[in-house]
Amino acid sequence: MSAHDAVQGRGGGGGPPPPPPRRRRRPPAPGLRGDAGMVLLEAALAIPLLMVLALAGIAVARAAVDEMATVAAARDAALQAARGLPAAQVEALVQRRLPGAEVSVVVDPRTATVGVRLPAAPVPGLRGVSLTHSADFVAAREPAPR
Amino acid sequence: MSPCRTPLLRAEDGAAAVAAVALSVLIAVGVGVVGQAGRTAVLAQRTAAGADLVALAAAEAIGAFAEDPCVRAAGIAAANEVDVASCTIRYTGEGPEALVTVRSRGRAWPLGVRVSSARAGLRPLGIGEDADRLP
Repeated sequence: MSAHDAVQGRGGGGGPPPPPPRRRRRPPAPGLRGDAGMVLLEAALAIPLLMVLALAGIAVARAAVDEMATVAAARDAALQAARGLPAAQVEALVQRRLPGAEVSVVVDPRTATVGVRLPAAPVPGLRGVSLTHSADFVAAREPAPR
Repeated sequence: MSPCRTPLLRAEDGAAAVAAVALSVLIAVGVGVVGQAGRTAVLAQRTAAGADLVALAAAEAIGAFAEDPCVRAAGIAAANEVDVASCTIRYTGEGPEALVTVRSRGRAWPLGVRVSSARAGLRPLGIGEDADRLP
């Protein structure tokens, strides 16, 4: 009888199998003991998200302010063009208020149309996205002073 | 007698995560509110500018005697993407003036369509205000 048969024979003899040897748990690493550092870990995950959201809020507010500045500049430029101000001066007027803006002035006998395009400020993290604020206004031309 | 606690509330595990999620939702809602407020303000400003230009066009038509001022106002309003809600020509001691009210074609939640009024008139010698917003 081999040693293997001997073991099988003992197991089938009716007695309960011996409990497996207890494995000793390894103690956790010093850095992972208990809940220590959980708040720090959660904060480390949450703070970037909060910063991204805060930056998004700032970007949205800034976009609204730039859009309103574009609208105001286009309205004033249309009024000046309607009063007979030459197109070059109208463009200079807008450029002084909104450096970097593109201005188009179209004057016909009855109306003056001014369009202003202002490239939006770059948003951190969205380098490939280019947005433009735009405003177009049409004003009735005023008769030349006599 | 010890206080009865549910298993979920037994420890403070995850408290920072819950707070961070709550704060994130709060900031996200804030960003949305800022965006909508900005959109509404821009629409209101566009509508007010359109009203100014429409009133000026009507006043110019009064002086030109060539076209119905309100028809002229409607033409300029359409070019500026607003609709004329009302157009009145009245004569005051200082001369004729046009009062117009325009509606925006766009909408901005939650206030919807924006309405703006303006007036412009002819003054003797051509001296005077351009377009005063009505009080």
